[in-house]
Amino acid sequence: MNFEAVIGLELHVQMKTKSKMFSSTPVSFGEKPNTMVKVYDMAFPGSMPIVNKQAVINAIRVSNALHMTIDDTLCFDRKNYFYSDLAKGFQITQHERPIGSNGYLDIDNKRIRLERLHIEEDTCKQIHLGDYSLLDYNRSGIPLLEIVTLPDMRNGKEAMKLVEKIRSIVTFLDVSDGKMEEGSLRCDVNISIREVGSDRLGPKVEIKNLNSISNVQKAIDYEIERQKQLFLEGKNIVQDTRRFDEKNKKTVAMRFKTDSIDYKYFREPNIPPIKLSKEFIQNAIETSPELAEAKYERYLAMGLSKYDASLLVQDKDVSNYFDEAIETKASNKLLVNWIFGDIHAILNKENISIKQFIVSPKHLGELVLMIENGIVSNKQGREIFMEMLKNNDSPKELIKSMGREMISDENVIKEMVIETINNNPQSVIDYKKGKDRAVAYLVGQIMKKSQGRANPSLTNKLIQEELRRR
Amino acid sequence: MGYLHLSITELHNLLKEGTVTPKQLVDEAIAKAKADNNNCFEYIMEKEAYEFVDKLGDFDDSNPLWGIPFAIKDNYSTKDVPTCASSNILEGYVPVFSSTVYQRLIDRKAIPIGKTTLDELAMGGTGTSGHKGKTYNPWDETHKHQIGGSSCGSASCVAASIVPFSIGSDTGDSVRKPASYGGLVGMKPTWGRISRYGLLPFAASLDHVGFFTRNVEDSAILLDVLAGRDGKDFSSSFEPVDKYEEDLLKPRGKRIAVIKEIFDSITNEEIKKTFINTLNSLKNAGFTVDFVNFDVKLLRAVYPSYIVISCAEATSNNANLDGIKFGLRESGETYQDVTKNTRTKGFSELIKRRFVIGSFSLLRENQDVLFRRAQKARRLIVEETNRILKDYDAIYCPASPTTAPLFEKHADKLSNEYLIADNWLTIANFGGLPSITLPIGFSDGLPFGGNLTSSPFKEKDLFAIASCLEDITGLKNLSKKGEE
Amino acid sequence: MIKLHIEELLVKPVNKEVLKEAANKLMFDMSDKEYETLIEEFEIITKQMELIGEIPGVDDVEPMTFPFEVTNDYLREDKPTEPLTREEALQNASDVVDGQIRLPKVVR
Repeated sequence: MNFEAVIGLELHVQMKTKSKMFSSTPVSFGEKPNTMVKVYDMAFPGSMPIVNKQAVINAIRVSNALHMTIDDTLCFDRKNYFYSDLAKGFQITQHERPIGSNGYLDIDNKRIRLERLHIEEDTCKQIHLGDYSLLDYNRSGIPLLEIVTLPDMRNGKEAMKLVEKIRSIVTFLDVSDGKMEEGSLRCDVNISIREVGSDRLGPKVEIKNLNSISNVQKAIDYEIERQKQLFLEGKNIVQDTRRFDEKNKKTVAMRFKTDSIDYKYFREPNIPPIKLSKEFIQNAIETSPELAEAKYERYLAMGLSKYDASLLVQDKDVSNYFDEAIETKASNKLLVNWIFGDIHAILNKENISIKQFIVSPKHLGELVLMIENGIVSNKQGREIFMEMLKNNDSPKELIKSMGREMISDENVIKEMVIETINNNPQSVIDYKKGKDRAVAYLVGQIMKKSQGRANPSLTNKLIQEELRRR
Repeated sequence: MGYLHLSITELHNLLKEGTVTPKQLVDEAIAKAKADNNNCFEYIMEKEAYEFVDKLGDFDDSNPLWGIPFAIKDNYSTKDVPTCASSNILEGYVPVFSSTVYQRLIDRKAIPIGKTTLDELAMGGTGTSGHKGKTYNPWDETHKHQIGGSSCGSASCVAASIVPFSIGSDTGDSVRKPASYGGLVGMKPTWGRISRYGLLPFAASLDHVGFFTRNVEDSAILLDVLAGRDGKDFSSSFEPVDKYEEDLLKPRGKRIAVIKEIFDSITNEEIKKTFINTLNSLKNAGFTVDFVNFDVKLLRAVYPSYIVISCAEATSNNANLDGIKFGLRESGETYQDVTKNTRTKGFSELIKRRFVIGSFSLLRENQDVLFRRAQKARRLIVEETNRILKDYDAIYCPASPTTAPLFEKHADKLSNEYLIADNWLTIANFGGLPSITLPIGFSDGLPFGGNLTSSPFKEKDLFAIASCLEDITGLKNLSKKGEE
Repeated sequence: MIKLHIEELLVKPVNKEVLKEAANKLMFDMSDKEYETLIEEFEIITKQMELIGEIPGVDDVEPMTFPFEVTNDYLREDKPTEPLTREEALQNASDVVDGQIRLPKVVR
């Protein structure tokens, strides 16, 4: 008997707008509990929703990247239910008319259809401590995008790649941090199995609270096996909700029952329909930040290797850093080397992201340009870089203050060469005997004398010329 | 004798002349409020009122509300002043923000002296379901007659001349019906004309801010102050605001439609006779007055559609009252118990029954036949009304088929008189139409009113027509002066 | 869609059990007497709702949510404003611990 898994995903993307979805409360993470709250977020009587324009723009951009049809009338509905993390006793969402519908993403030449994308608001945070729970409303009302796929995926890898692609899209569009570990990207899985060739669906199992993209794949792969096993043993597959036990690498039933809840959806009466003009939608799309794919193509066109290009587009902030640095006209290849070499070493050591890296892309570019143009040697460049790590001083300033400007004046170097050779007669003899070390020794002496400022290749050349004359 | 039976304009002039000071007006209002035996007040703002008086600054002749005391229905959020919507579930709740209506009034230096009683959570029409019990009609000192609801306290305190104006809210007729029973002018403008920010919602698609005064001019002055776009209420209108109190006796349109089926369903002959007299006087004053037809099936459907829609929306609007963030909190072993115990204790039985009806109408299996169908009926009713208003400047009918009812009155809820004549005012909520009730006569010592309703954003014309009617009847500034 | 006569639809389910379930889903309970009153009210309301069903063509139109056709194109600029202080946010809550509202355990 051949089985196939039928997998659909429901993702929630937390938007990092400056203010919340329906209130102008600041969106800010890591704050003390209940300090990012206004009357709407705690559902004080008489408070009212006001729709956030940027959240709508974000939804349009993501819908567009997902090849969706965009509805030009913005409508909201109420989803009514009681839970401790839902201040109003209902959530404002889009049930009847989602802003995006009928889209797709291609994963390895396979088209995964995307049913809908809609805007809604986040619930408050609950901490469960034994026999009581604590509520923090800072998160209440933060804008969310919900993306629902059709059950077109057949294994954990496909699902994981889809999540990765969506993560890439929402991070490159500046819509979200897209981090499952932090809750800014959430993924629920719906999975059932059936015999290949059948179009009957087996009982659907839901997997929730996955906290990393790799766990999406692991949980699905485990669950497929689990369901297959049950089927082969003739046992029932219970339609339930499970979570992934990371330690033991298996899915585990969650303790609550999921009754099918009637949410009594109806149109939100405090938000009359909003007309999104063609110009507004067009403009939102045209001013979209660049997606990873577009950047990748652009990098290839610039002459970067596929390897380098794909490295760059793995992280939006890294590619943005690179894009800013190349504005200085420094060499792309050299910049790539600096970024993935020295800079990443520092980021890893200090456990920071490139956004927190002290050296600005402009200054890095200027430094690389100076090395390229021979104004400083590689070694000097590195010294200047170490100095830049302190305060992000401009390399041009640092050259002056550090006195590191490379000496490339032939006359100056020639003087030094002559003096040094005069002081080291043994080197002449060694050189004539064919010992290359003699040249290196003399270069070293001149470097010491010039505090590393002498142009190394020029020094080398002039030394050899002078030695030949002796 | 006191002054608070006078109109806003008259009080303004007395303040201007220095005949009376704001502090004296507040003294009078607070004393009357404390002595009030009609149960008008949830909370008397004695301390707060004097603080406002202290901060008044100089008299401003261009500001008609300067130093004028007022009361406001206790379903409006008032910063640092307890707000409970006459329900136990909001016991102890003190808002940290103010409704826009309240803010605009205090910004204009009017002096709030109290929060008035209402039918619990504004869901009622008898003035009896608030947690403090019945609110009485000052026109009947034997306390046998209602003032109606849900804005019962706001109506009574103006009728008892405690204040010259008060703020109410109107979802089905909750300002314009009590106005009829109280001999007052009760007005609600177009939906979205006045911000609902901070008004505890009953049914957002039907809720309107409304207010009570004793004459039409005062009503127009209030709309001037309160109307206008508010960024905090997404549904508030961008339509420009007129100068409503100018050109009051000069209506630009003089065509009036009387709905025959409403008139015919009334059984009180005296009311009908008085009403007909006003029609004749209007004709003599140059108005065209026609009896028009309105599909009776639609009229009979107004009340049931209203019950379904309003209860359904109300169920959702009051789901935030869970004992967790504010108000009453009962204990329980789990969160679910806390919320359940709180809501069981905090809501009255009447409100719970309304919520169950509303929730029932929204259930997936029922929604098409109940909630959505009521919304479809709403559309047909509004279309029929707008059809009439295309050819007429106002619809005019008696605001109520009777004077203030007795408390024990039990209407036949399926009769035409109940369904049509007693509930037709809801049409203006369905269509968001501006609508005003004003006194047109007395019967057995109790007042009753007529109601004029116009097309959206036609408040200026509505006021003009209303002031002509007021001029005709001569009935204005009516009140029971009450105890000194 | 089958157009059901309202009475047929409702008479079957409108009993104390159904209403109790509806009330419990709304997180409250009522006394037995209240359920009886409610059932009586439902009978009247059902008859009143029949009147809606009698309107010819009622099912042929779209449901109306808003009082009139009002659309606008206004959206709020994404500019944050000053939040409430924590004291203001929590001053009406009766059980606060470490700046958070405390609840007895949430049964999941």
